[in-house]
Amino acid sequence: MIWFAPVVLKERYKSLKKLKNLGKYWNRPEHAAYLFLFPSLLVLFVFAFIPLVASIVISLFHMNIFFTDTSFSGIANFFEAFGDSRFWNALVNTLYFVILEVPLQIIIGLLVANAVHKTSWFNKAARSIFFLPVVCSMAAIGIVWSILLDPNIGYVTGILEKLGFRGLGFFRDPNMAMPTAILMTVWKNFGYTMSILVVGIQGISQSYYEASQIDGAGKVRQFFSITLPLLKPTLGFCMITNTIGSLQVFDQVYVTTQGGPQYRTETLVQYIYKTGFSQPYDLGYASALSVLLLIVILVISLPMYRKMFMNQE
Amino acid sequence: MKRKGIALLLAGMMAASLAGCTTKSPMEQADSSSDSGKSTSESKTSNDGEAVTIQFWNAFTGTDGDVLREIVDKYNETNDKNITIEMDIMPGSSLEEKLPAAVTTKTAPALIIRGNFDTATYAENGVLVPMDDFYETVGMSEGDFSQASVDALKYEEKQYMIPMQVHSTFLYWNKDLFEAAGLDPETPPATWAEAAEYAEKITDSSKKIYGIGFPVSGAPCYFDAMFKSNGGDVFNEEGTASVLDSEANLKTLEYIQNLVKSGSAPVGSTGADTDNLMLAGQLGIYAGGPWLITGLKENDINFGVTGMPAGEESAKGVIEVQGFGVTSSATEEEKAAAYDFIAYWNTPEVSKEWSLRNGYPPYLTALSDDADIKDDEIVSALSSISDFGFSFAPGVKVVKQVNNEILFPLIENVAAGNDPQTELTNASNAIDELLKK
Repeated sequence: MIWFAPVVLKERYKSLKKLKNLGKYWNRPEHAAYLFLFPSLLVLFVFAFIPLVASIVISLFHMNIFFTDTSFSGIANFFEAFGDSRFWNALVNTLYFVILEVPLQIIIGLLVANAVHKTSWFNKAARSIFFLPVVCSMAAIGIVWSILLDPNIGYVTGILEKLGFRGLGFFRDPNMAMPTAILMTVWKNFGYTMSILVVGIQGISQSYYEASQIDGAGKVRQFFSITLPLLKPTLGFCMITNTIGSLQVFDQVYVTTQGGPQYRTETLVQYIYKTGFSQPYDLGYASALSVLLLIVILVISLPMYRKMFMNQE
Repeated sequence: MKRKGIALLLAGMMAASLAGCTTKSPMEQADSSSDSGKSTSESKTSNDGEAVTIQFWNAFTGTDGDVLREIVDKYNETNDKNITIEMDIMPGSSLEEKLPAAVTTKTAPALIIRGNFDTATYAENGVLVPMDDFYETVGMSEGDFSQASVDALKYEEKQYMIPMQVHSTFLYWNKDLFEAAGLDPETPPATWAEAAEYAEKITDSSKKIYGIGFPVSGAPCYFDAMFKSNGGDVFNEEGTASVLDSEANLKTLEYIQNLVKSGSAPVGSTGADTDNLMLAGQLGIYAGGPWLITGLKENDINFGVTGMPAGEESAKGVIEVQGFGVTSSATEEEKAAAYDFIAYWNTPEVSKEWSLRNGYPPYLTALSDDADIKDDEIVSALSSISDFGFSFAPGVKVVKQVNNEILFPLIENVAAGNDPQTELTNASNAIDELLKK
């Protein structure tokens, strides 16, 4: 058997070499990147891609959540949505929310970021305070705001009445409910936009400001001629993420108004949730609504993405 | 070295967390054990035969959940059949979301508590199994329960749940506000007409005091009772068509609208808002659920509670029953264990404890003349449920949807000032459309 030993050793050496080569292959940055990306891609595949495909498939079926009454219905669910006044109402409410909430949040976030971007003890403390609502849960904030703004027992309404503002219904008033929900969302989320914009402003070279100062530019001119143009990519990122987030608005409405009064705050996701997860448990129709929401998001965000980022290239 | 140390620590944490992932949740335990045909059975050190552990989901997230937990713990300690109940209390909306998925994947708990308005949907979709054999198995009979409570949990003549708790809306009144308005604090309104008369006297808009409350969402369906007590109804007797669009119901809606218009009732308040008004001592008369009692006592509100007032016809209140249901995921062994616990719950001692500690009316016939129940002023008042309670639309699958998606918005629109007749016709058509689906 001794004559066999060199062959075995040679084979082992070969496999070791192979292993070494494999290690070398994956150690190269352009290959190693895939290894680092793999866990995230796996999570995205399982929790985003599969549900997305499943939703599209389910939207073509008449199916309830118990899977007891399933049949292929083609695009019937989509036709049903086009004739459903509640779908159109929810779509209008969602767009109303987006049109007011996104610009408000970005403008307030930008103004605050511009005011507190310099590194000082006071600014750091202010940034932390502004960021505080972001880490709180929307459910808790929703409950607190509902109680504070209650027309009969609310603290804020009580003070406002003493100041002469009577009859403010806030979440109870059909005309005020959505603006109130928007205001609450802006208050909760502007800290997030602010923190991204602070980083963006801090990334702008000081030399631009110094040069403009020598040329006699004031603070306002500096803001509009230097800060704003150089912040465009960061603003674009905020705009797109906020728009997509706002199109999916749900929790603030779910906690405060449940879509009322008179369906004036019922958003698309709220309607999808109600349709799919409570009576009538219509998973097929809820999925069709989700696909329509996806289309709305794509139609709105893709041109924004192209405008904001494609020009940069 | 420091870097290596940190790397080692992180690697250790990752390994530990991965190991943690292999720990099975109660639901997974139920799944794996049911696959093996033994369901959630687990070996227990006791020598009293084979041990059985069952999962139990419910939505008793309030203080009554603590009492429920105590009773379950006591059962786990004292039962001689080696049964363990593992209870998971979660918000009602979470339970509603999780249960269908769990049933579909055969990982549902063996035992759940749901309301009577869910009976038809859960029965028809195979979430619950019929429990007609319950009485014989545990040595009880249907006659041990009030008829309305068992009827509410039937679907197509089959018993799908066994009563766990019964309630309805009751008439609460704030005695201090009655006195301030010059009314007798010990005499609540006996009719809806009197309630309106009193409400107008009690209302004081300068102090934000309202005479009466009509929630527009998230509350018990008091309006079904109001319709009925005024001679109207929502469904025909077979539950196949709407009879909502009637003169009697129109009068009920006009009654509500007039009170809101005159400022005697708040506009657009939800159930939670109206409860809060009552708890803050700013509401004179309110048809609410028995869960209000604890809060009213805690807030030192000088209140009284009695049965619902009469309308054009006799007083009515919709009986709502929470029932124990056994899901289709349960094995025979689990079902037997669940039956044993349900029978324990429905012993006069446990049922009485639940009624007295939480302020719920008794539903066991054995407790109808119980001295302790009669001595408790509030629970005794709630016992009048047997005089006015009726089971609303039993067996109608879309009843929950009709209440939440059609009738509450109807009340909301009418309270907001819309034309009652138009709203009534629209709502009636919407119900018919839903019934046809």
